[in-house]
Amino acid sequence: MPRALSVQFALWASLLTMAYPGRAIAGKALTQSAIALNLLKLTSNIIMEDNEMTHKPETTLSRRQMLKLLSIGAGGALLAACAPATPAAPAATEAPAAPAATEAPAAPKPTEAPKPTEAPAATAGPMKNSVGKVLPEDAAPPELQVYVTAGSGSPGQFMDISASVYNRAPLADMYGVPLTRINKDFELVPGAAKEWKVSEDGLTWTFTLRDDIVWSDDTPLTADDFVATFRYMADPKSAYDFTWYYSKGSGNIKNFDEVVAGKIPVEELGVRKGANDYELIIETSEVTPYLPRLFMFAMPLQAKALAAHGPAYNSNPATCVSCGPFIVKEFSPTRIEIVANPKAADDIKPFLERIIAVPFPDAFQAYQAGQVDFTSIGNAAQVDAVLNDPQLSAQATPDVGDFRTDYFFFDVTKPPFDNLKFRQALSHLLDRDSIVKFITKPLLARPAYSFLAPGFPAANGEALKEIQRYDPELAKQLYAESGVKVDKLLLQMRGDLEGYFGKEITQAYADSIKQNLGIEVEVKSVPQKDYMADLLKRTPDGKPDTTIDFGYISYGMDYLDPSNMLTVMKGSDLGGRHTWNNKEYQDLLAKAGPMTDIEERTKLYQQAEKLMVEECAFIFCIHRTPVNLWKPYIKGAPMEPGKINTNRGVAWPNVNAMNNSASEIYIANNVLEYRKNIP
Amino acid sequence: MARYILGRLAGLVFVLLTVSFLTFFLMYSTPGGPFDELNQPLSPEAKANMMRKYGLDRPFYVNWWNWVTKAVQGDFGMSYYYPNTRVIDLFSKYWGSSLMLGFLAVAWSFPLGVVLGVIAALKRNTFVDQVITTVALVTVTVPIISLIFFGIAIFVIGLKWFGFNNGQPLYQQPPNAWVLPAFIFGLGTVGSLTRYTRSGMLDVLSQDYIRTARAKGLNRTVIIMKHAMRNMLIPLVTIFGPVLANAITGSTFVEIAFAIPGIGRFFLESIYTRDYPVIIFTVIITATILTISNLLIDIAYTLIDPRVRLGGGH
Repeated sequence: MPRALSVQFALWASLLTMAYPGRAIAGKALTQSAIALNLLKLTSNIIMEDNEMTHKPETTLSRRQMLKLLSIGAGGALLAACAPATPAAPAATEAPAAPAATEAPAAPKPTEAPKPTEAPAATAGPMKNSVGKVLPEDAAPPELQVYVTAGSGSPGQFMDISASVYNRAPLADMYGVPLTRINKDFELVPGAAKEWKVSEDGLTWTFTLRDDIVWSDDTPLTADDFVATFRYMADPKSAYDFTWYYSKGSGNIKNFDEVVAGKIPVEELGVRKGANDYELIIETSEVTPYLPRLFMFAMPLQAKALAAHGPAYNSNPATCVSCGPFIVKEFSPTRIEIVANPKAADDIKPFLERIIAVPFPDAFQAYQAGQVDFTSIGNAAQVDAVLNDPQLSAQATPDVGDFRTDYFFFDVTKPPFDNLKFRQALSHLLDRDSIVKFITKPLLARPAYSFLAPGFPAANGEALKEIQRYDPELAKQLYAESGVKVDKLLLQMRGDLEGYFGKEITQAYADSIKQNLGIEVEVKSVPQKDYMADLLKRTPDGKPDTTIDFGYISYGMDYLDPSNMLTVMKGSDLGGRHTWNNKEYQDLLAKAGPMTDIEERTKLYQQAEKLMVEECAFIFCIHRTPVNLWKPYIKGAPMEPGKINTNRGVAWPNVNAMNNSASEIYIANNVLEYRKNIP
Repeated sequence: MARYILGRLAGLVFVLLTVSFLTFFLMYSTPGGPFDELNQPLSPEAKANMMRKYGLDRPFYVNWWNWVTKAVQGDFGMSYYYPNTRVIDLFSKYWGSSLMLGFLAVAWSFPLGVVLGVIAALKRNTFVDQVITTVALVTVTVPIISLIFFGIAIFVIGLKWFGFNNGQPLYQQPPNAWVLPAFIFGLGTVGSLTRYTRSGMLDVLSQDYIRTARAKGLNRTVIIMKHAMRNMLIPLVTIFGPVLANAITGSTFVEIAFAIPGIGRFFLESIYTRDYPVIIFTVIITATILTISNLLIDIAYTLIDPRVRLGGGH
């Protein structure tokens, strides 16, 4: 074969291999053959050419020949080394024979999967993974049951939400079973507590724990673990960063605030063991009908490990103790690997063998490069990349995320924002439809006319649509009536919102105000930490001391109840983050909170939300519908359509033990078509 | 000479004290802290617990002095964000990746830059010179972030020749995880070196002693290698110091873009997360390396050029 031809052959084979990863095996074989042929040819040519020039015997290599050969060898070695590694896993055809359809469940729901003891022998029947869980019929072999994620992309110390909320590492919350959980339709389902009841006065809750959940050190999960966990969170020495969640006005756990303040000892906290090891009593200071909803965050820490090693015991493989689907195998700031927990209860055991988290700074790039199995998108460039790529488009599905709403707010205690007509004027200048159409694209957001997003309990956006509608003429009229005269405003955006079109949205709004009212609006992006420190700054006597008079911010739910979202606007007098303190609104929330009549409660919350929208202390902009991309080989019950997330059920809080998705997803046997190696 | 070196080392102590004091001042002046209130505000009592936990209820100068007294005993504290990890352990674990990346970049870029500079000088005002100086100018002026962007878009996502790091130290990775980052990291150095070498070489070639050597009929290679090269070492040594210091302390952009677990990346993350012990240690290490590399450069001058005397003389 002439050398030029073989070079071209190698080049084309290489390009084919790169362009069509799915045909990597054939392409790689072609490439390697051609390279080998080429090197052979080049070698002989070099020796022949140089020998012809120097008339040396063929058996002796000159220095020049040696240098050329070494260069070729080094180049070849480098190319070979840079080539994607061949997967160590067996090819699909080498996998054990799939069982007949009738022998295995079509949908990999844990309840439908045969128990390990009932499963046929591994050699003849369905495949089982290393913890004895029978894999679905279309699953890849156990060695390929590895899910790779970029995690949150930020570092963190703790692996449990009960140890810290804001300092959690990727792959946190896989090492326990919370008291309650949610399913893919956001419905409340039992977790560690199989049932619960509340006393007649509505203040004492009794949670009956499952007795079949054991920690990986063989000790059972008992009420003592939950008592220790709640005491840790309330203990002033812990400085837990999410205490508001169980405080008065939210969880209402009896004495929680007093313990946090160091006024009474942790032993007096309203969380205690009941009549036996599997009964947990929780007292509240007020009737709190949504309490079980809150407890999907009640992830237990093991009392023994907490006492022996502190709250970060799950950040160290040597001290990790888990009763959840996984245990920690490797933990470092740059890579975390967890493996299936063999001691997990049968319905909690995962199909996956391992999950690896590498906090890639740009998870979308890593996804495109085939190095992670999941990512979310949230900026214009990523949207365009997805929309322009049929493959990526097919893998992308929007969902409701955490029902997050991005909104503008005012410091209503300061002029000119203390003027209702001026606020109303501004509310009519936000062209939400255009923002969604041209900036976010309808894929990533819906116009927001109120705080509660569609699908969230008590959501009423359609009915409130007219109150803050886009109407520049009305805005001009209201501005004239307000008597306000300003030339310039400063709009401060929380920096992290840049990641979700914040810059474009705030600039569009600023332009609209300038165009219609002639007011210059300077837009300033402030780093998240600095922004929140400013927003929450208080004088020594507790009065707001913020410099953010006009801001752009967002909020997503912590638990699926209107009380959670609507208390964000309760006002600074009651410990809220905004300065809008409306007595009528506060009274409505106080009245609705403890109500057990759902219909009546919903009415009150809708009344409160209407009042908030009319008062225009907040101008609601978009409800996010974050787009998640999943590789086609990620399958399982959570990936099927849900009632709220109609594309794929799996959503907030993503692959996690709070919603059992970590136990239910698996890698399908088409994985080798997409993934060349596991990082 | 020894006295001079001792004097410079004593000066280093003063530099480090000043740098650490200023860093503490800046860290504690910045709003926010190593904790978050991203959702709903904490109660004043809960916030006070946080401040106490991180020692933020004390004035910054008290914390600075506490840090100094512990640092002289080799205790640089624990990271706020990495579990049960001493700052010094964090660095010892991840510095290796930065060092490898830096040395790989210097290893290919420094010699190439020198060779290209010499060629450009020898071929002055020819097509070859124009090509080399243009390429050098481009590599110096194009921001590294752009090179990273194009590098990733073409070679990682498009052609898939290279990949991102998998979170493990760089020296445990196959070449496809470090070839591209090392290439991009070194590009700027190539450009700088080429330009420095070219101008240094042109300067030397115009000296009388070179003309004399030529007049004596010396071989061109001997003139360049023996007379010209040695005399243009001073500008090279001057630039080698900062290049090496930069290589040792890591490239923040390259490390972050390729997910390389190096100290440049940790430095940036520590600023974001307000991990004060990591911030102060990184600053101190960087200041020490830069100060010592400057000292070594000064010493190197005396070895290269006997006319240079340190600590007095003329």
